[in-house]
Amino acid sequence: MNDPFLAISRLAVLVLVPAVLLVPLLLGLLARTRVGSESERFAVRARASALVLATLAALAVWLGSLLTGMLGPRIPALEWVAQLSWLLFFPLWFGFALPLLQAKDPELGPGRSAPGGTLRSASLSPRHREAPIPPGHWVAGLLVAALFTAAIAARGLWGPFADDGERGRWLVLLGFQVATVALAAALVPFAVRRGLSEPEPLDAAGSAELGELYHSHRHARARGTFWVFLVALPSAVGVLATLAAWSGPGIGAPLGPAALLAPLLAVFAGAWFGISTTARRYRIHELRARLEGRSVGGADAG
Amino acid sequence: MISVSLDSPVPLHDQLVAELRRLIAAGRLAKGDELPPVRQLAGDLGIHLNTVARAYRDLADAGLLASSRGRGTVVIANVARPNGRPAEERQRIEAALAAALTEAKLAGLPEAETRALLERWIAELWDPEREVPSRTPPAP
Repeated sequence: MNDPFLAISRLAVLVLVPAVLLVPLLLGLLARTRVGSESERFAVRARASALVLATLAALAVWLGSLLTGMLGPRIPALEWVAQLSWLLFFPLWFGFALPLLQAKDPELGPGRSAPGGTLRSASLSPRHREAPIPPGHWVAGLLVAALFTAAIAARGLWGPFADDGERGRWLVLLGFQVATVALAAALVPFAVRRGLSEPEPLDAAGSAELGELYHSHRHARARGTFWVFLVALPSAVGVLATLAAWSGPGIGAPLGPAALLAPLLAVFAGAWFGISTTARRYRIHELRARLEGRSVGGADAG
Repeated sequence: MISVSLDSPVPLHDQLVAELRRLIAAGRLAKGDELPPVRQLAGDLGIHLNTVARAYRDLADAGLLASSRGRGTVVIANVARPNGRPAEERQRIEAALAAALTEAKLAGLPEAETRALLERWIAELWDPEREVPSRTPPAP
């Protein structure tokens, strides 16, 4: 019997997972190199090689688990590994691609916002007073999280559990959901506020164009932080936990692909947020360099 | 906007204090205006937190700023209705002006240029809406 949900799940594993794993490699290799010294270029080549090898290893994990888990002897545990291997995006991006990008352009590294010239200018507007997230959005985000929590809790009221193991699993899922929502509610407002105060050095003349670029960047970052870490990720966890809490004989097949797609969408949202934030920072640094008349080093592609 | 120069022989703290005093005197920072937090201004200028904190503290001691939890650092000086006593300050101000003009003379600055400098600063502080040519950061 054909199961469309199973087909969707297999398609996601075959296409989306390797695509996600290749994103850090593509972005890392395509970024321009803005360093000139031989030692800096050597560091770039070393990090690029590390990224290539790490990506090949991640793809090997995906392909190996795919071939043995789904297409070969059908080992269920390896099937899960193939489905969840998109998680390797995070170590690839943060552990290999970002260091390569920072080696190619040191201004993206720690202290990346340090002003360049000896004449330093700054705005006197207190940015932490800005409110890029409307109050209604905060309420809506927490409401969505509360609904998922209620959906999981409702399982306890629905009917008796098959055994103590099922009840224990439900309690763990409920606790995990509550902890996720509580952490997000506690940390995201703090992260948004700290992000608004990130250093924004102006050029000597205090260019309005640069000021506006900073403004759009910090508001986009605040909104991204809110939507990814208070809405998307807790919702993905909520979907997984709700499905797991209510899953049982006869309703497992369609829930599997949904349980794969929900966190995958959340990861795509997070990846888009991270990549677009990095791209905006690039534009800001390029504009600052142009306004300050600074050299940006040897500009080679790749 | 505020600017400091790392190349200036004037310490950064003194530059900050002088710039903020100038902005308050020119009315660009009005009573009730909130200044950025110490961390924000220090990060934007790329200077030490303590430099900014000390500048804020000194201006608070001079009665120009006030800091409190929740409200941040705000300007409390009212240039439109100053609380100072200009008649008593006149002797001190005249002495400071005399010292500055003596320095200009000893440095060989022509009279016309000295007069132009004075007029530019008077315009900047008493008529801040007028466009003035760019200047170097002021001494404290």
